[in-house]
Amino acid sequence: MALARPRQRRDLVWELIARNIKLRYRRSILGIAWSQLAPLSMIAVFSFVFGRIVPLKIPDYPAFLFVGLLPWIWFQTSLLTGTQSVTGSRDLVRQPGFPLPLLPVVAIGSGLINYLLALPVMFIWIGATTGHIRVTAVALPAILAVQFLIVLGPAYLLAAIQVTFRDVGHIVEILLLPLFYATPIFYAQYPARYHVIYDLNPLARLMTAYRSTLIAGRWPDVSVLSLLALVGMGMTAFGYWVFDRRAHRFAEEL
Amino acid sequence: MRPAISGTEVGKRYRRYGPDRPHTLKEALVNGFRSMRAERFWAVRGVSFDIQPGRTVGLIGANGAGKSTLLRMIAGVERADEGTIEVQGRIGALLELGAPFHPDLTGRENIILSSVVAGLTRREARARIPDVVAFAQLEEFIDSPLRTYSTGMSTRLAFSIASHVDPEVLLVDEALSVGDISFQQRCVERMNEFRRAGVTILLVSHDPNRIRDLCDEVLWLRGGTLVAQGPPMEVTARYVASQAEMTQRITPHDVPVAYTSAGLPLRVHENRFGSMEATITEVHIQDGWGEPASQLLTGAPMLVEINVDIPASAGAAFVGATLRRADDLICLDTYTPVGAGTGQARVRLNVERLDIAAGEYLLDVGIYSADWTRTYDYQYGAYPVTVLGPEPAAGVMAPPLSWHLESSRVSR
Repeated sequence: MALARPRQRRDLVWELIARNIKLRYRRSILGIAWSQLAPLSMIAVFSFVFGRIVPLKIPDYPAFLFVGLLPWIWFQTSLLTGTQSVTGSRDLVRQPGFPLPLLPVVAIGSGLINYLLALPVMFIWIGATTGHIRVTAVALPAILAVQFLIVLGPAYLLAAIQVTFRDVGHIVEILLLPLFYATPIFYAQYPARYHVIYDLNPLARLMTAYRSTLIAGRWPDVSVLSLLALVGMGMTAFGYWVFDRRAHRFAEEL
Repeated sequence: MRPAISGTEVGKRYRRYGPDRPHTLKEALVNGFRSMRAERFWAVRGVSFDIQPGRTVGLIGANGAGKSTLLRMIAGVERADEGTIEVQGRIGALLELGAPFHPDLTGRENIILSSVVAGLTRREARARIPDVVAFAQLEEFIDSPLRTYSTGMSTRLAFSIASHVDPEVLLVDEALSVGDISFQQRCVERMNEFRRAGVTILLVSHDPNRIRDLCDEVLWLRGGTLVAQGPPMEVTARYVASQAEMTQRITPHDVPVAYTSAGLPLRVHENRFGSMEATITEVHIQDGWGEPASQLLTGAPMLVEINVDIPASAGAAFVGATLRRADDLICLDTYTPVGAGTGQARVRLNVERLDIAAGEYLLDVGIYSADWTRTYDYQYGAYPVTVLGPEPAAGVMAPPLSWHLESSRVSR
């Protein structure tokens, strides 16, 4: 049994993610199609507003939106479900020997699966509207891994605080709106004098990386990705430290 | 040998927050973080013990004695604030907290999920499904969502899963008290299998009989500290004696003498004990026609009407009746639960056939708290019953019976 531990851990993560996915789509008529509808409706709205009403003149605008919106939706749901990951898992927290640090990982992982489920539609769309699918798309896993790291630290921190202060989730929800507008998702870049936002917002750099690999056909900037990965690791180390210090109190505070 | 479970000076302190403890950041900011300060109290303190591998150990104690807290610390769900707890081997647990079941998943999906959460790989979990299902006797329902299960079915499934994850240390918290008799019996058998296989079992209960039947050794907790560790007979006897002593202690002295319908006096500390938080106001023994009777016939029905007053403050309770022979042999011992806030009510016990030998008997009646740890009102030896039969007989039972003679010689 002792030898099976890493495999057991992996199975545990998978089972919990599978549970989340199953529960999300069970007892609904459209099932998994729901995961496609949310981004599609947002794309339709943004395409109309910024294509027709206030034209931004970005070529292949729906494909551009698609590439930016999917990672944003992943980021947003990860942060929200990650914040609730401990408070929403009362039963698991009270299981003997349950590895609590897995909970935020499972929350982000579940969001990643939803992202991956939407990928075929995105590639079909990109192929159909721009005429080609870029080879550089094979670099996508690296960018996803960096984004995972970027979210993990805040998720650990927020999940731990949420146990004591139950309104942290609402605060996160409120902060996500300005962050959405501060990230180049439906527009391409900032005016030069607001470039500081770009410098401080890791998501902005991630958007650049997603677009260059999936649409422009350029390889992502390795130094930028490495820097982001380092920042992500630092935040994760801090978030994990806080989480771990609080973890032994979770069972009694829930 | 290295103990399977060992605790050294274990202590656990809980926080008791004031009523204005903030639950949100907003409240904390408005009230100031000062209100976060909490009064602390020790739920368990200075508890040291060793449990050798393969032993079945009972953990006994009244409510609030710290049994569940200690169990949760052994399970690793909570951390001790003082001292250390060491457990060797994989823990299987059936705590009052329940399994991580999800109502929208099917029984089968829940088995896999719970088994993997308990430490199996997916492959191991899949391989065990048939055994788990068979033990829980849920073959027909296993692919239905859990929300369609009754509480008893979920508990059966939970016990079945916990007992199929190859635990080396099994923690059981009062779980055996649910489910029907046949399932309880199989749980006991399963625990005996574990004992033979060398699994260390820690069983929490406040039922001394159960502990005496199943355990090799008993730990007794009172007020968060360990009172005794030793052989089951000895420790449970001391525990029962201390419970009786507590009943004596909580029995008030200023209760006026009451009289039974037969005119016998009920005096506290003499033939009446308990805290009187709930009381038995009247007891009537009747024959099959509902007529008051102090003499009954062997094989005829007996009705016992117990009038109770259970104020809401007493919570849920048990009403019990015991019929014993003049020499203290218990012939019948039965009880029924009554919900919280029953108020004044009439509880009826209908014994359809009183198949006991003719003789002199005494009926004892009592009301107890729902966890059996507190006696509210116990009236001892105040209700005599004379059973009349066709002939005085030795023995206890007098069922309808007949003798027949069949000759083995073949008739021509």
